Amino acid sequence: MVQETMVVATGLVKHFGPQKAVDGIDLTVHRGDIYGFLGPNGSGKSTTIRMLLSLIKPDSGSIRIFDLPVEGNRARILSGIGALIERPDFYQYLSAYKNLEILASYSGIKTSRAAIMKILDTVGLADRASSHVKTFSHGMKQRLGIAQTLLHDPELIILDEPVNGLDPQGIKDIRELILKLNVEEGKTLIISSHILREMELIANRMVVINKGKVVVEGDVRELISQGSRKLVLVASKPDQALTLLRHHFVSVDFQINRLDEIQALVDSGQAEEINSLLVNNNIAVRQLYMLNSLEDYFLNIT
Amino acid sequence: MINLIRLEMLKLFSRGLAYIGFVAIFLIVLVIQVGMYVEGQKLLDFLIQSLSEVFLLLGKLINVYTVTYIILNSLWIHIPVLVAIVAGDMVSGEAGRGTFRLLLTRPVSRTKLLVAKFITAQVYATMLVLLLMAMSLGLGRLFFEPGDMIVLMNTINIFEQSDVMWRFIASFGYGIVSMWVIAALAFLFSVRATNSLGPVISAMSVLILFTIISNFSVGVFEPVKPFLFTSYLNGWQLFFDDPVDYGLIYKALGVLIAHISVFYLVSVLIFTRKDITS
Repeated sequence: MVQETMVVATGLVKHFGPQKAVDGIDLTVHRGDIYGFLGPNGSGKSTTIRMLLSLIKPDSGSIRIFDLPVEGNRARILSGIGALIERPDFYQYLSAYKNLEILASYSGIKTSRAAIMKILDTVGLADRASSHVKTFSHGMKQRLGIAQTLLHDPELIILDEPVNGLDPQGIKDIRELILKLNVEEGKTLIISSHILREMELIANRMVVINKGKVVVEGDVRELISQGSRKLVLVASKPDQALTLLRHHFVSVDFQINRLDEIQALVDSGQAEEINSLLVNNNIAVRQLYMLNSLEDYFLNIT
Repeated sequence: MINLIRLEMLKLFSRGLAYIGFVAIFLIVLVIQVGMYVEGQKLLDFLIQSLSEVFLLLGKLINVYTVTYIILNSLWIHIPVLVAIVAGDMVSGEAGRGTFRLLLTRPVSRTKLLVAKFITAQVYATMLVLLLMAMSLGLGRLFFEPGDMIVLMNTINIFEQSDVMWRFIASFGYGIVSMWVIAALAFLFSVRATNSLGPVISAMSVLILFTIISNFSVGVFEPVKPFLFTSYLNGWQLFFDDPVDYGLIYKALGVLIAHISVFYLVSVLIFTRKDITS
Protein backbone atom coordinates (compact mmCIF):
# COMPACT_ATOMS: atom_id res chain seq x y z
CA MET A 1 0.00 0.00 0.00
CA VAL A 2 1.35 3.42 -0.95
CA GLN A 3 1.28 5.75 2.06
CA GLU A 4 0.33 9.38 1.60
CA THR A 5 3.28 11.64 2.34
CA MET A 6 2.72 14.81 4.33
CA VAL A 7 6.24 16.18 4.59
CA VAL A 8 9.13 15.57 2.25
CA ALA A 9 12.39 17.40 2.87
CA THR A 10 15.31 16.91 0.54
CA GLY A 11 18.90 17.99 0.95
CA LEU A 12 18.30 20.69 3.55
CA VAL A 13 21.38 22.75 4.33
CA LYS A 14 21.66 25.68 6.73
CA HIS A 15 24.68 27.66 7.87
CA PHE A 16 24.85 30.12 10.74
CA GLY A 17 27.97 32.05 9.89
CA PRO A 18 30.75 29.56 9.24
CA GLN A 19 28.97 26.83 11.21
CA LYS A 20 26.97 24.25 9.27
CA ALA A 21 23.94 23.55 11.47
CA VAL A 22 22.14 21.29 9.01
CA ASP A 23 24.01 19.32 6.39
CA GLY A 24 21.88 17.70 3.70
CA ILE A 25 18.95 16.38 5.73
CA ASP A 26 16.30 14.29 3.96
CA LEU A 27 13.15 13.13 5.68
CA THR A 28 9.71 11.81 4.82
CA VAL A 29 6.66 11.87 7.07
CA HIS A 30 3.55 9.88 6.17
CA ARG A 31 -0.04 10.70 7.07
CA GLY A 32 -0.89 9.18 10.44
CA ASP A 33 2.72 8.91 11.61
CA ILE A 34 4.07 9.83 14.98
CA TYR A 35 7.42 10.70 13.58
CA GLY A 36 10.27 10.90 16.07
CA PHE A 37 12.97 13.40 15.35
CA LEU A 38 15.93 12.34 17.41
CA GLY A 39 19.35 13.70 18.02
CA PRO A 40 21.60 15.00 20.78
CA ASN A 41 21.44 18.67 21.77
CA GLY A 42 22.86 20.85 19.02
CA SER A 43 22.41 18.20 16.34
CA GLY A 44 20.22 20.42 14.15
CA LYS A 45 16.74 19.26 15.18
CA SER A 46 15.31 22.67 16.03
CA THR A 47 16.88 24.29 12.98
CA THR A 48 15.31 21.65 10.73
CA ILE A 49 11.92 22.05 12.38
CA ARG A 50 12.14 25.83 12.04
CA MET A 51 12.88 25.35 8.34
CA LEU A 52 9.76 23.16 8.01
CA LEU A 53 7.77 26.01 9.58
CA SER A 54 9.31 28.78 7.44
CA LEU A 55 10.86 30.42 10.49
CA ILE A 56 14.30 29.84 9.00
CA LYS A 57 15.10 29.87 5.31
CA PRO A 58 17.31 26.97 4.19
CA ASP A 59 20.48 27.80 2.26
CA SER A 60 19.64 24.95 -0.10
CA GLY A 61 17.32 21.99 -0.39
CA SER A 62 13.58 21.74 -0.77
CA ILE A 63 10.58 21.16 1.48
CA ARG A 64 7.14 20.01 0.38
CA ILE A 65 4.31 19.86 2.88
CA PHE A 66 0.81 18.71 1.93
CA ASP A 67 2.29 18.24 -1.54
CA LEU A 68 3.04 21.98 -1.84
CA PRO A 69 6.47 23.59 -1.92
CA VAL A 70 6.97 25.70 1.23
CA GLU A 71 8.41 28.52 -0.83
CA GLY A 72 5.46 30.65 -1.93
CA ASN A 73 2.84 28.67 0.03
CA ARG A 74 3.75 29.59 3.58
CA ALA A 75 0.29 30.75 4.70
CA ARG A 76 -1.55 27.84 3.06
CA ILE A 77 0.78 25.31 4.59
CA LEU A 78 0.83 26.87 8.06
CA SER A 79 -2.98 26.87 8.14
CA GLY A 80 -2.72 23.07 8.27
CA ILE A 81 0.02 22.89 10.89
CA GLY A 82 -0.01 23.38 14.63
CA ALA A 83 3.41 23.87 16.16
CA LEU A 84 5.07 24.24 19.51
CA ILE A 85 8.70 25.23 19.21
CA GLU A 86 11.00 24.75 22.19
CA ARG A 87 9.74 26.53 25.32
CA PRO A 88 6.01 27.19 25.61
CA ASP A 89 6.23 31.00 25.84
CA PHE A 90 2.96 32.90 26.08
CA TYR A 91 1.71 36.36 26.95
CA GLN A 92 2.26 35.96 30.67
CA TYR A 93 0.03 38.87 31.59
CA LEU A 94 -3.00 37.35 29.84
CA SER A 95 -5.16 34.40 30.84
CA ALA A 96 -4.88 30.99 29.19
CA TYR A 97 -8.21 31.62 27.49
CA LYS A 98 -7.20 35.05 26.21
CA ASN A 99 -3.90 33.69 24.88
CA LEU A 100 -5.73 31.05 22.88
CA GLU A 101 -8.32 33.56 21.67
CA ILE A 102 -5.59 35.91 20.43
CA LEU A 103 -3.64 33.11 18.76
CA ALA A 104 -6.80 31.87 17.04
CA SER A 105 -7.36 35.39 15.72
CA TYR A 106 -3.82 35.47 14.33
CA SER A 107 -4.71 32.28 12.47
CA GLY A 108 -7.60 34.16 10.93
CA ILE A 109 -10.25 31.91 12.42
CA LYS A 110 -13.23 32.82 14.55
CA THR A 111 -13.32 30.49 17.49
CA SER A 112 -16.24 30.29 19.87
CA ARG A 113 -15.78 30.29 23.62
CA ALA A 114 -17.09 26.72 23.68
CA ALA A 115 -14.46 25.59 21.15
CA ILE A 116 -11.61 27.14 23.15
CA MET A 117 -12.93 25.65 26.37
CA LYS A 118 -13.14 22.25 24.69
CA ILE A 119 -9.49 22.48 23.67
CA LEU A 120 -8.52 23.56 27.18
CA ASP A 121 -10.48 20.60 28.48
CA THR A 122 -8.60 18.27 26.11
CA VAL A 123 -5.31 19.33 27.70
CA GLY A 124 -6.75 19.38 31.23
CA LEU A 125 -6.69 23.14 31.74
CA ALA A 126 -10.38 24.02 31.53
CA ASP A 127 -10.54 24.88 35.22
CA ARG A 128 -7.60 27.31 34.81
CA ALA A 129 -8.92 29.07 31.72
CA SER A 130 -9.14 32.46 33.41
CA SER A 131 -5.82 32.22 35.28
CA HIS A 132 -2.91 34.34 34.08
CA VAL A 133 -0.26 32.24 32.36
CA LYS A 134 2.38 33.68 34.71
CA THR A 135 0.82 31.56 37.48
CA PHE A 136 1.22 28.32 35.48
CA SER A 137 3.79 25.61 36.16
CA HIS A 138 6.06 24.50 33.33
CA GLY A 139 3.92 21.42 32.78
CA MET A 140 0.76 23.51 32.51
CA LYS A 141 2.44 25.84 30.02
CA GLN A 142 3.53 22.83 28.02
CA ARG A 143 -0.07 21.59 27.92
CA LEU A 144 -1.26 25.05 26.94
CA GLY A 145 1.41 24.96 24.24
CA ILE A 146 -0.15 21.81 22.85
CA ALA A 147 -3.62 23.37 23.19
CA GLN A 148 -2.61 26.28 20.95
CA THR A 149 -1.51 23.82 18.27
CA LEU A 150 -5.08 22.47 18.12
CA LEU A 151 -6.89 25.79 17.69
CA HIS A 152 -7.30 25.56 13.94
CA ASP A 153 -7.75 21.78 13.85
CA PRO A 154 -4.52 21.14 11.92
CA GLU A 155 -3.70 17.94 10.06
CA LEU A 156 -0.07 18.04 11.15
CA ILE A 157 1.25 18.87 14.63
CA ILE A 158 4.92 19.62 15.21
CA LEU A 159 6.18 19.51 18.78
CA ASP A 160 9.76 20.45 19.51
CA GLU A 161 10.97 18.86 22.75
CA PRO A 162 7.47 18.67 24.29
CA VAL A 163 8.52 16.85 27.45
CA ASN A 164 11.59 18.94 28.21
CA GLY A 165 11.76 19.89 31.87
CA LEU A 166 8.64 17.98 32.89
CA ASP A 167 8.32 15.72 35.92
CA PRO A 168 7.44 12.03 35.36
CA GLN A 169 3.70 12.64 35.74
CA GLY A 170 3.90 15.58 33.30
CA ILE A 171 5.78 13.41 30.79
CA LYS A 172 3.14 10.69 31.11
CA ASP A 173 0.33 13.23 30.61
CA ILE A 174 1.91 14.64 27.46
CA ARG A 175 2.64 11.15 26.12
CA GLU A 176 -0.99 10.13 26.60
CA LEU A 177 -2.18 13.33 25.00
CA ILE A 178 0.04 12.78 21.95
CA LEU A 179 -1.20 9.22 21.53
CA LYS A 180 -4.80 10.39 21.93
CA LEU A 181 -4.33 13.04 19.22
CA ASN A 182 -2.87 10.45 16.90
CA VAL A 183 -5.21 7.55 17.58
CA GLU A 184 -8.51 9.29 18.32
CA GLU A 185 -8.22 12.43 16.21
CA GLY A 186 -6.07 11.08 13.41
CA LYS A 187 -3.41 13.78 13.66
CA THR A 188 0.02 13.30 12.16
CA LEU A 189 2.73 14.36 14.58
CA ILE A 190 6.41 15.21 14.28
CA ILE A 191 8.05 15.14 17.68
CA SER A 192 11.61 16.12 18.31
CA SER A 193 13.33 14.97 21.43
CA HIS A 194 16.57 13.82 22.88
CA ILE A 195 14.68 11.70 25.42
CA LEU A 196 14.82 8.41 23.59
CA ARG A 197 12.66 6.39 25.92
CA GLU A 198 9.75 8.68 25.09
CA MET A 199 10.23 8.24 21.36
CA GLU A 200 10.35 4.51 21.81
CA LEU A 201 7.00 4.63 23.58
CA ILE A 202 5.12 6.82 21.12
CA ALA A 203 6.81 7.07 17.71
CA ASN A 204 6.17 4.59 14.89
CA ARG A 205 8.81 6.08 12.57
CA MET A 206 11.85 8.16 13.28
CA VAL A 207 14.90 9.88 11.94
CA VAL A 208 18.11 10.13 13.92
CA ILE A 209 20.34 13.09 13.18
CA ASN A 210 23.75 13.93 14.48
CA LYS A 211 25.98 16.91 13.67
CA GLY A 212 23.40 18.12 11.16
CA LYS A 213 23.28 14.87 9.18
CA VAL A 214 20.79 12.04 8.99
CA VAL A 215 22.23 8.93 10.60
CA VAL A 216 19.24 6.71 9.93
CA GLU A 217 15.53 6.97 9.14
CA GLY A 218 12.90 4.27 9.33
CA ASP A 219 10.41 2.22 11.34
CA VAL A 220 11.19 2.39 15.06
CA ARG A 221 10.72 -1.33 15.73
CA GLU A 222 12.84 -2.35 12.75
CA LEU A 223 15.59 0.03 13.76
CA ILE A 224 15.67 -1.26 17.31
CA SER A 225 15.77 -4.91 16.30
CA GLN A 226 18.53 -4.63 13.74
CA GLY A 227 22.29 -4.71 14.25
CA SER A 228 24.21 -5.19 17.47
CA ARG A 229 22.50 -5.14 20.84
CA LYS A 230 23.84 -5.01 24.34
CA LEU A 231 24.06 -8.31 26.23
CA VAL A 232 24.12 -8.36 30.03
CA LEU A 233 25.00 -11.51 31.86
CA VAL A 234 25.48 -12.53 35.49
CA ALA A 235 27.51 -15.70 35.99
CA SER A 236 28.50 -17.72 39.07
CA LYS A 237 32.23 -17.21 38.41
CA PRO A 238 32.44 -13.82 36.74
CA ASP A 239 36.23 -13.57 36.32
CA GLN A 240 36.49 -17.07 34.91
CA ALA A 241 33.51 -16.42 32.63
CA LEU A 242 35.09 -13.21 31.36
CA THR A 243 38.37 -14.92 30.50
CA LEU A 244 36.55 -17.73 28.73
CA LEU A 245 34.37 -15.39 26.72
CA ARG A 246 37.28 -13.17 25.68
CA HIS A 247 39.19 -16.25 24.58
CA HIS A 248 36.30 -17.62 22.49
CA PHE A 249 34.87 -14.41 21.06
CA VAL A 250 38.00 -12.49 20.16
CA SER A 251 36.18 -9.83 18.15
CA VAL A 252 33.71 -8.98 20.94
CA ASP A 253 34.64 -6.46 23.61
CA PHE A 254 33.45 -7.98 26.91
CA GLN A 255 33.55 -5.71 29.97
CA ILE A 256 32.73 -6.38 33.60
CA ASN A 257 31.21 -3.74 35.84
CA ARG A 258 31.23 -3.17 39.61
CA LEU A 259 28.19 -5.39 40.04
CA ASP A 260 30.07 -8.23 38.33
CA GLU A 261 27.78 -7.99 35.33
CA ILE A 262 29.45 -8.86 32.06
CA GLN A 263 28.37 -6.63 29.19
CA ALA A 264 29.11 -6.60 25.47
CA LEU A 265 27.66 -5.58 22.14
CA VAL A 266 26.81 -8.77 20.31
CA ASP A 267 25.02 -9.76 17.13
CA SER A 268 21.63 -11.41 17.40
CA GLY A 269 22.13 -15.18 17.78
CA GLN A 270 25.40 -14.90 19.71
CA ALA A 271 23.62 -14.91 23.07
CA GLU A 272 22.69 -18.57 22.69
CA GLU A 273 26.30 -19.48 21.88
CA ILE A 274 27.55 -17.56 24.92
CA ASN A 275 25.08 -19.33 27.20
CA SER A 276 26.05 -22.78 25.90
CA LEU A 277 29.77 -22.05 26.23
CA LEU A 278 29.45 -21.01 29.87
CA VAL A 279 27.16 -23.90 30.85
CA ASN A 280 29.42 -26.43 29.10
CA ASN A 281 32.31 -25.07 31.14
CA ASN A 282 30.43 -25.49 34.44
CA ILE A 283 29.73 -21.82 34.93
CA ALA A 284 26.18 -21.21 36.03
CA VAL A 285 24.38 -18.45 34.17
CA ARG A 286 22.14 -16.67 36.65
CA GLN A 287 20.90 -13.94 34.33
CA LEU A 288 21.28 -13.30 30.64
CA TYR A 289 19.30 -10.67 28.80
CA MET A 290 19.55 -8.33 25.85
CA LEU A 291 18.98 -4.62 26.17
CA ASN A 292 16.58 -3.83 23.43
CA SER A 293 15.96 -0.12 23.64
CA LEU A 294 16.14 2.82 21.37
CA GLU A 295 18.61 4.36 23.75
CA ASP A 296 21.10 1.55 23.13
CA TYR A 297 20.49 1.81 19.46
CA PHE A 298 20.95 5.53 19.52
CA LEU A 299 24.14 5.34 21.55
CA ASN A 300 25.53 2.80 19.11
CA ILE A 301 24.94 4.83 16.02
CA THR A 302 25.76 8.39 17.17
CA MET B 1 -5.33 44.14 8.84
CA ILE B 2 -7.79 45.88 11.19
CA ASN B 3 -8.02 42.65 13.17
CA LEU B 4 -4.22 42.48 13.45
CA ILE B 5 -4.05 46.09 14.63
CA ARG B 6 -6.81 45.36 17.16
CA LEU B 7 -4.80 42.39 18.47
CA GLU B 8 -1.62 44.45 18.73
CA MET B 9 -3.48 47.22 20.58
CA LEU B 10 -5.03 44.65 22.91
CA LYS B 11 -1.62 43.19 23.73
CA LEU B 12 -0.07 46.63 24.16
CA PHE B 13 -2.71 47.90 26.54
CA SER B 14 -2.81 44.67 28.54
CA ARG B 15 0.65 45.53 29.83
CA GLY B 16 1.78 48.14 32.31
CA LEU B 17 4.46 49.37 29.91
CA ALA B 18 1.94 51.26 27.78
CA TYR B 19 0.69 53.24 30.75
CA ILE B 20 4.13 54.46 31.81
CA GLY B 21 3.97 57.06 29.04
CA PHE B 22 0.55 58.33 30.05
CA VAL B 23 1.49 58.59 33.72
CA ALA B 24 4.78 60.30 32.83
CA ILE B 25 3.04 62.87 30.64
CA PHE B 26 0.49 63.55 33.34
CA LEU B 27 3.31 64.15 35.82
CA ILE B 28 5.46 66.20 33.42
CA VAL B 29 2.55 68.51 32.59
CA LEU B 30 1.41 68.74 36.19
CA VAL B 31 4.89 69.59 37.47
CA ILE B 32 5.39 72.30 34.83
CA GLN B 33 1.94 73.76 35.48
CA VAL B 34 2.32 73.80 39.27
CA GLY B 35 5.81 75.27 38.89
CA MET B 36 4.56 77.97 36.53
CA TYR B 37 1.56 78.65 38.75
CA VAL B 38 3.81 79.26 41.74
CA GLU B 39 6.90 80.85 40.16
CA GLY B 40 5.88 81.53 36.56
CA GLN B 41 5.44 85.28 36.87
CA LYS B 42 8.95 85.71 38.31
CA LEU B 43 10.38 83.62 35.47
CA LEU B 44 8.54 85.63 32.84
CA ASP B 45 9.53 88.93 34.45
CA PHE B 46 13.15 87.82 34.20
CA LEU B 47 12.78 86.81 30.56
CA ILE B 48 11.12 90.01 29.48
CA GLN B 49 12.88 92.48 31.76
CA SER B 50 14.73 94.07 28.84
CA LEU B 51 11.44 94.35 26.93
CA SER B 52 9.70 96.01 29.85
CA GLU B 53 12.13 98.85 29.61
CA VAL B 54 10.98 99.56 26.05
CA PHE B 55 7.36 98.29 25.98
CA LEU B 56 4.46 98.62 28.32
CA LEU B 57 3.17 95.06 28.78
CA LEU B 58 -0.30 94.80 30.27
CA GLY B 59 -2.48 91.80 31.09
CA LYS B 60 -1.77 88.25 32.34
CA LEU B 61 1.15 86.99 30.31
CA ILE B 62 1.37 83.82 32.36
CA ASN B 63 -1.70 82.14 30.96
CA VAL B 64 -2.68 78.71 29.71
CA TYR B 65 -1.19 79.36 26.26
CA THR B 66 2.21 80.54 27.47
CA VAL B 67 2.47 77.49 29.73
CA THR B 68 1.34 75.16 26.93
CA TYR B 69 4.05 76.66 24.73
CA ILE B 70 6.61 75.84 27.42
CA ILE B 71 5.20 72.31 27.74
CA LEU B 72 5.46 71.81 23.98
CA ASN B 73 9.22 72.13 24.37
CA SER B 74 9.18 68.81 26.21
CA LEU B 75 8.64 67.21 22.81
CA TRP B 76 12.39 67.56 22.41
CA ILE B 77 13.51 64.84 24.80
CA HIS B 78 10.82 63.61 27.19
CA ILE B 79 8.16 62.43 24.79
CA PRO B 80 10.66 60.75 22.42
CA VAL B 81 11.92 58.63 25.32
CA LEU B 82 8.36 57.55 26.14
CA VAL B 83 7.60 56.81 22.49
CA ALA B 84 10.84 54.84 22.06
CA ILE B 85 10.14 52.68 25.12
CA VAL B 86 7.00 51.29 23.52
CA ALA B 87 8.02 51.35 19.83
CA GLY B 88 11.36 49.74 20.70
CA ASP B 89 9.53 46.88 22.39
CA MET B 90 7.01 46.20 19.63
CA VAL B 91 9.09 43.59 17.80
CA SER B 92 12.04 42.92 20.09
CA GLY B 93 9.70 42.32 23.02
CA GLU B 94 8.02 39.45 21.18
CA ALA B 95 11.42 38.02 20.29
CA GLY B 96 12.66 38.36 23.87
CA ARG B 97 9.56 36.80 25.38
CA GLY B 98 9.65 33.95 22.84
CA THR B 99 6.13 34.70 21.58
CA PHE B 100 7.32 35.34 18.04
CA ARG B 101 7.55 31.60 17.52
CA LEU B 102 3.87 31.35 18.41
CA LEU B 103 2.88 34.14 16.04
CA LEU B 104 5.02 33.26 13.06
CA THR B 105 4.02 29.62 13.00
CA ARG B 106 0.48 30.82 12.29
CA PRO B 107 -0.72 31.60 8.78
CA VAL B 108 -0.27 35.33 9.14
CA SER B 109 1.85 37.26 6.66
CA ARG B 110 5.07 38.61 8.13
CA THR B 111 4.63 41.89 6.29
CA LYS B 112 1.06 42.34 7.53
CA LEU B 113 2.12 41.53 11.07
CA LEU B 114 4.89 44.11 10.89
CA VAL B 115 2.58 46.74 9.41
CA ALA B 116 0.10 46.12 12.24
CA LYS B 117 2.86 46.56 14.80
CA PHE B 118 4.18 49.65 13.06
CA ILE B 119 0.74 51.27 12.96
CA THR B 120 0.17 50.37 16.62
CA ALA B 121 3.43 52.07 17.57
CA GLN B 122 2.40 55.17 15.61
CA VAL B 123 -1.06 55.19 17.17
CA TYR B 124 0.59 55.04 20.58
CA ALA B 125 2.87 57.98 19.71
CA THR B 126 -0.19 59.90 18.52
CA MET B 127 -2.05 59.14 21.73
CA LEU B 128 0.84 60.44 23.82
CA VAL B 129 0.95 63.75 21.95
CA LEU B 130 -2.84 64.09 22.08
CA LEU B 131 -2.73 63.45 25.81
CA LEU B 132 -0.02 66.09 26.10
CA MET B 133 -2.29 68.50 24.26
CA ALA B 134 -5.37 67.65 26.33
CA MET B 135 -3.43 67.93 29.56
CA SER B 136 -1.73 71.18 28.60
CA LEU B 137 -4.77 73.01 27.31
CA GLY B 138 -7.40 71.21 29.43
CA LEU B 139 -5.77 70.68 32.82
CA GLY B 140 -4.03 74.01 32.33
CA ARG B 141 -7.38 75.80 32.51
CA LEU B 142 -7.62 74.69 36.16
CA PHE B 143 -4.51 76.73 36.94
CA PHE B 144 -4.49 79.51 34.37
CA GLU B 145 -6.81 81.81 32.49
CA PRO B 146 -6.61 82.16 28.72
CA GLY B 147 -5.09 85.32 27.34
CA ASP B 148 -2.84 86.86 24.73
CA MET B 149 0.42 85.08 24.20
CA ILE B 150 3.98 86.33 23.91
CA VAL B 151 6.53 84.25 22.05
CA LEU B 152 10.23 85.05 22.22
CA MET B 153 12.03 83.30 19.43
CA ASN B 154 14.17 85.08 16.86
CA THR B 155 11.82 87.98 17.27
CA ILE B 156 9.01 89.01 19.60
CA ASN B 157 5.58 87.81 18.53
CA ILE B 158 2.48 88.69 20.44
CA PHE B 159 -0.65 86.78 19.47
CA GLU B 160 -4.15 87.69 20.44
CA GLN B 161 -6.10 85.07 22.36
CA SER B 162 -8.39 84.44 19.37
CA ASP B 163 -5.37 83.76 17.12
CA VAL B 164 -3.69 81.16 19.32
CA MET B 165 -5.74 77.96 19.43
CA TRP B 166 -5.31 76.99 15.76
CA ARG B 167 -1.55 77.46 16.12
CA PHE B 168 -1.50 75.03 19.01
CA ILE B 169 -3.61 72.47 17.17
CA ALA B 170 -1.27 72.72 14.16
CA SER B 171 1.80 72.54 16.42
CA PHE B 172 0.58 69.43 18.19
CA GLY B 173 -0.27 67.95 14.79
CA TYR B 174 3.30 68.62 13.67
CA GLY B 175 4.49 67.17 16.98
CA ILE B 176 2.64 63.96 16.17
CA VAL B 177 4.56 63.62 12.88
CA SER B 178 7.83 64.30 14.76
CA MET B 179 7.04 61.53 17.21
CA TRP B 180 6.19 59.16 14.34
CA VAL B 181 9.81 59.55 13.21
CA ILE B 182 11.08 58.61 16.66
CA ALA B 183 8.66 55.66 16.79
CA ALA B 184 9.79 54.52 13.32
CA LEU B 185 13.45 54.78 14.33
CA ALA B 186 12.97 52.80 17.56
CA PHE B 187 10.86 50.31 15.60
CA LEU B 188 13.66 49.81 13.08
CA PHE B 189 16.10 48.97 15.87
CA SER B 190 13.43 46.76 17.45
CA VAL B 191 13.23 44.59 14.33
CA ARG B 192 16.85 43.54 14.73
CA ALA B 193 16.97 43.17 18.50
CA THR B 194 15.91 40.43 20.90
CA ASN B 195 15.56 42.65 23.96
CA SER B 196 13.67 45.87 24.50
CA LEU B 197 16.42 47.93 26.05
CA GLY B 198 18.75 47.90 23.05
CA PRO B 199 16.33 49.60 20.62
CA VAL B 200 15.43 52.31 23.17
CA ILE B 201 19.07 53.11 23.90
CA SER B 202 19.98 52.97 20.21
CA ALA B 203 17.12 55.28 19.19
CA MET B 204 17.96 57.73 21.96
CA SER B 205 21.64 57.66 21.04
CA VAL B 206 20.83 58.47 17.41
CA LEU B 207 18.45 61.22 18.54
CA ILE B 208 21.04 62.79 20.83
CA LEU B 209 23.87 62.50 18.29
CA PHE B 210 21.81 63.94 15.45
CA THR B 211 20.45 66.71 17.70
CA ILE B 212 24.00 67.72 18.58
CA ILE B 213 24.98 67.76 14.90
CA SER B 214 21.81 69.69 14.01
CA ASN B 215 22.49 72.36 16.61
CA PHE B 216 26.28 72.50 16.37
CA SER B 217 27.34 75.49 14.30
CA VAL B 218 30.42 73.94 12.75
CA GLY B 219 30.95 74.17 9.00
CA VAL B 220 31.73 70.51 8.53
CA PHE B 221 28.21 69.52 9.63
CA GLU B 222 26.39 72.10 7.53
CA PRO B 223 26.00 69.91 4.38
CA VAL B 224 24.34 67.07 6.32
CA LYS B 225 22.06 69.15 8.53
CA PRO B 226 19.25 69.50 5.94
CA PHE B 227 19.02 65.71 5.73
CA LEU B 228 18.81 64.99 9.46
CA PHE B 229 15.34 64.54 10.94
CA THR B 230 16.51 66.22 14.14
CA SER B 231 16.87 69.50 12.22
CA TYR B 232 13.07 69.51 11.85
CA LEU B 233 11.79 68.12 15.17
CA ASN B 234 11.29 71.65 16.50
CA GLY B 235 9.42 72.68 13.34
CA TRP B 236 6.23 73.07 15.37
CA GLN B 237 7.63 76.44 16.46
CA LEU B 238 7.15 77.66 12.88
CA PHE B 239 3.44 77.97 13.61
CA PHE B 240 4.30 80.73 16.09
CA ASP B 241 5.99 82.86 13.44
CA ASP B 242 4.12 85.74 11.92
CA PRO B 243 3.53 85.28 9.09
CA VAL B 244 3.74 81.48 9.09
CA ASP B 245 6.22 80.19 6.52
CA TYR B 246 4.23 77.29 5.09
CA GLY B 247 6.90 76.50 2.51
CA LEU B 248 9.35 75.76 5.28
CA ILE B 249 6.76 73.69 7.15
CA TYR B 250 5.94 71.58 4.09
CA LYS B 251 9.64 70.98 3.47
CA ALA B 252 10.16 69.97 7.10
CA LEU B 253 7.18 67.63 7.01
CA GLY B 254 8.48 66.15 3.75
CA VAL B 255 11.84 65.34 5.32
CA LEU B 256 10.17 63.80 8.40
CA ILE B 257 7.80 61.69 6.30
CA ALA B 258 10.71 60.58 4.10
CA HIS B 259 12.52 59.39 7.22
CA ILE B 260 9.43 57.51 8.43
CA SER B 261 9.11 55.82 5.02
CA VAL B 262 12.76 54.80 4.87
CA PHE B 263 12.76 53.48 8.46
CA TYR B 264 9.58 51.52 7.72
CA LEU B 265 10.82 50.04 4.42
CA VAL B 266 14.14 48.98 5.94
CA SER B 267 12.24 47.39 8.85
CA VAL B 268 10.09 45.37 6.43
CA LEU B 269 13.13 44.37 4.41
CA ILE B 270 14.95 43.09 7.49
CA PHE B 271 11.96 41.43 9.08
CA THR B 272 10.72 39.52 6.06
CA ARG B 273 14.17 38.04 5.48
CA LYS B 274 15.00 37.42 9.09
CA ASP B 275 15.56 33.91 10.45
CA ILE B 276 13.54 33.47 13.63
CA THR B 277 16.02 31.79 15.94
CA SER B 278 14.84 33.30 19.24
